[in-house]
Amino acid sequence: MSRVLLLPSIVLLLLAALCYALSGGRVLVGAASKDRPVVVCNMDDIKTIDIHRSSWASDIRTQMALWEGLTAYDPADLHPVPGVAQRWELSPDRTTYTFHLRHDARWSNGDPVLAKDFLFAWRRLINPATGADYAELFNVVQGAQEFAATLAAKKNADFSTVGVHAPDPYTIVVKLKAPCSYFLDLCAFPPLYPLNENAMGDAVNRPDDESWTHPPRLVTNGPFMLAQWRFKQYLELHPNPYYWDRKNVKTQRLRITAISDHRAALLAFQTHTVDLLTFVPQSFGEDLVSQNDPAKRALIHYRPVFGSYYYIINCTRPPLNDRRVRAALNLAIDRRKIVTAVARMGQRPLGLMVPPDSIPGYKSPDVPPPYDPEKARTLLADAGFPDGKNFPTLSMVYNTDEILHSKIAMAMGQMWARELNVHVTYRGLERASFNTARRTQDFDIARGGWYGDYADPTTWLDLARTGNGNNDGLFSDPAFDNLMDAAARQADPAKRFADLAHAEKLICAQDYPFIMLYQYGDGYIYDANRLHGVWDNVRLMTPLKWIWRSQ
Amino acid sequence: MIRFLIYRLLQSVVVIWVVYTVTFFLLMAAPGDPFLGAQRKPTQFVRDALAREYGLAYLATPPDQRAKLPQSEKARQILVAYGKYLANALRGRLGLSVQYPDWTVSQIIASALPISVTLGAAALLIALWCGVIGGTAAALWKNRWPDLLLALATLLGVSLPSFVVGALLLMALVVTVPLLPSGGWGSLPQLILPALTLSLFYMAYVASLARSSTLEVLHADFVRTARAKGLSPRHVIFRHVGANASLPLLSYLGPAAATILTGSFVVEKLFAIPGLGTHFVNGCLNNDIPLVLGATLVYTAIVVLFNLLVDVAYAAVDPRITLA
Repeated sequence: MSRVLLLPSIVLLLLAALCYALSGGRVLVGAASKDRPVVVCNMDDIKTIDIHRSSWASDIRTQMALWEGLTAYDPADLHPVPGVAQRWELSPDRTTYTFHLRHDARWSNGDPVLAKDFLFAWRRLINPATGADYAELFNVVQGAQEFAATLAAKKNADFSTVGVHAPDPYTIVVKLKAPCSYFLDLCAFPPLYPLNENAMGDAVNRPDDESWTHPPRLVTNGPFMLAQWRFKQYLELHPNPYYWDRKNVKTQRLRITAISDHRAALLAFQTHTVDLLTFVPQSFGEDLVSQNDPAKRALIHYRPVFGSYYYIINCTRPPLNDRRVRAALNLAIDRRKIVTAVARMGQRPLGLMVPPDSIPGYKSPDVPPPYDPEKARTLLADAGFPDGKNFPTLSMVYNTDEILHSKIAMAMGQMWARELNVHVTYRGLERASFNTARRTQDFDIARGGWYGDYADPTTWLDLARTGNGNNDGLFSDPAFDNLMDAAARQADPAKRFADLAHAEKLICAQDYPFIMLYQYGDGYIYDANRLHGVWDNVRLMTPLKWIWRSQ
Repeated sequence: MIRFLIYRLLQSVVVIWVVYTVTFFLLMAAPGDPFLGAQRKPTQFVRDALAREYGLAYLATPPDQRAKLPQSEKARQILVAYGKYLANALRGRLGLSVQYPDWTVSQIIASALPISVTLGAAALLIALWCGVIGGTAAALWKNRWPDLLLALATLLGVSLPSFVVGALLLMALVVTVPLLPSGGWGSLPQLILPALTLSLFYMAYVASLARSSTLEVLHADFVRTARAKGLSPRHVIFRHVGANASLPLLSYLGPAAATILTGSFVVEKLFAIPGLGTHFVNGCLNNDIPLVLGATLVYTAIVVLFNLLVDVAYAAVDPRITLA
């Protein structure tokens, strides 16, 4: 046997050795664990480094470590603090910002960060050929929407018609369409970060060329620079030597990795190969959150976050186009029961659209209790379906990549059957088919989930506006749209919030285009005695700049 | 021999082309839309740009309107896309991944394939040697305790799925007795558990194969002759029995190598290993057409190549076989 099997064995051994070397494996285990990098582990892989192509939390977290905007987030409560802009002025009519850039802000190749770098990036952001997910955020700036529309019509457009100008290399003037209380917040958000045009080279004119996103071509202006990116393995970040606030960046090597399997992720944390898990694995969520050992429980930093779990009603299909029917479906759902018996991670039940107490200064409207089966039955009878008679069977669409979605759908179906004698068919789809079904209105009721992008109620309420790209239920109410328009014109921030609260009340107590279920809970897993500079805030945006490990 | 090789290589090209073509049209027929993200809906302009970028003109039509497209127009767009993809593939260009736009499919494969191959080769080595030793021992002590033990182990190895074995190994060697790292890639200790997990199924198969072929050879005439000549038992087993009993193993080794070297989704997920198996599954789930096509191409090529290698090795080992 030795003779015959020796050759294949030698081939296999050589193959293994060669491929192991190719894959970047090391024979000797690295130096002492003290020199080990700080390892941050996401659930999802980084999809892209391109600030204009990303919309995933893990991408945005990475970009916030690599770049810096005109403003940055204060890690405690995320209010905007000076970033590249040292200071700014707001005109008395609250529509013109003048930003003064700090002279010591530099790119990772030593170039100074100038006003033109921002204008270049913003132009790329709103160019429809870039296909930026967040291009619409810039529509608060004068002329931006028109500029994009002209380009989309394949005509030449003049960027100087957009309300952004640079009177000198260190000053940027931004003219807004109307007062926008969250514009400084947007400036700290990656899609509005600057880009270094010279470093991008040929890629500037070619949307299919993303080679500039890899080191050493990638040049960034934030606390870190990208030293190495091994696909699906890790991104290694080193401090940007030219960063103006270099003294506050204490970590010498930061590694960002991803483990999608919940068990593997938790095990990696427990065996100290990962310092920070940026998510609480749902599969063990209940056990983790409710464990008795105080030392172990202290590692789980779990809280309600700026996201919610809900269902979308297809408002174009009869009988769902009748708001009484939508109200009945809403009022028959016992959210408290869904949270305590099905989701089971101590999430907050939600009758509102904007998670309460998540936006400084915004007071949620008063709405009647979201669970009222008696009223639900009355409303359904008023709509012509007493005791659910002749009510069509509804098709309920959800994605099956998490078991929880099926469980919640079934719980809701049972509540409707019991309270209203309304029956549903469950259509669990895999992710890609689910997205298509939802985007093409191929559903009566479909699962939704949303995380707010910036600290303003419009990041939620826009979902219900007529014609909004994410209004998958095609809901439309002119009264609601008028209120939103009025709020957009309102110069006084307090009055604006009052208008928006009024609009939210229309959605949650009258029109019911959604069935809001609960506010997501999520958080981090880390040992606060070892890892410092991780901040607990509702939007789970921890700027990695501040992170360091003491042991 | 040379003629055989040329013939087989030509045959391989046809096989690869057929698999590529079938995969392409299956992907075109699959539901879903790669440009629909979980979060936002692309505008028509973006849709056009993406369709151009990926050379998939029929995707410029949003999915809900695609049914309204005349059949002939749809067929034309798909055929044009097929021509483009095939021409590019021939020139070694596999395009950009839809889900990971910063990477070309070639880069993704180049980074994931060596990992899967390392893991697979290590697993196969373990499976081969442990299996052969176990199987031969069982045949030599037929119906005694080593044989019964092996029968039990083989049954367990074949029937326990790798996510159970892997979880048990993690429990034992990472959680209870912290000897080994839990997963990831980059150092040798990280290779041990996944390679062991991956090898068990193949090990069981190799062992039962080795046992039955050894038993067969043990009763062959030439073995009796060798014994009659007075050769030592060790010499008989290693030189005569072993060599002949290993032949069936060789033919199993080819397809097994092709499967094991291209990655296992389950083991990769369990141990957080960034190999090729994950890309197959995720690529399909996300409708990442260029990635699935590229991965399939590489996978097919490897299967075909290993089968060819086995045929050649067979001829080299067994003088009765000639490659005409």
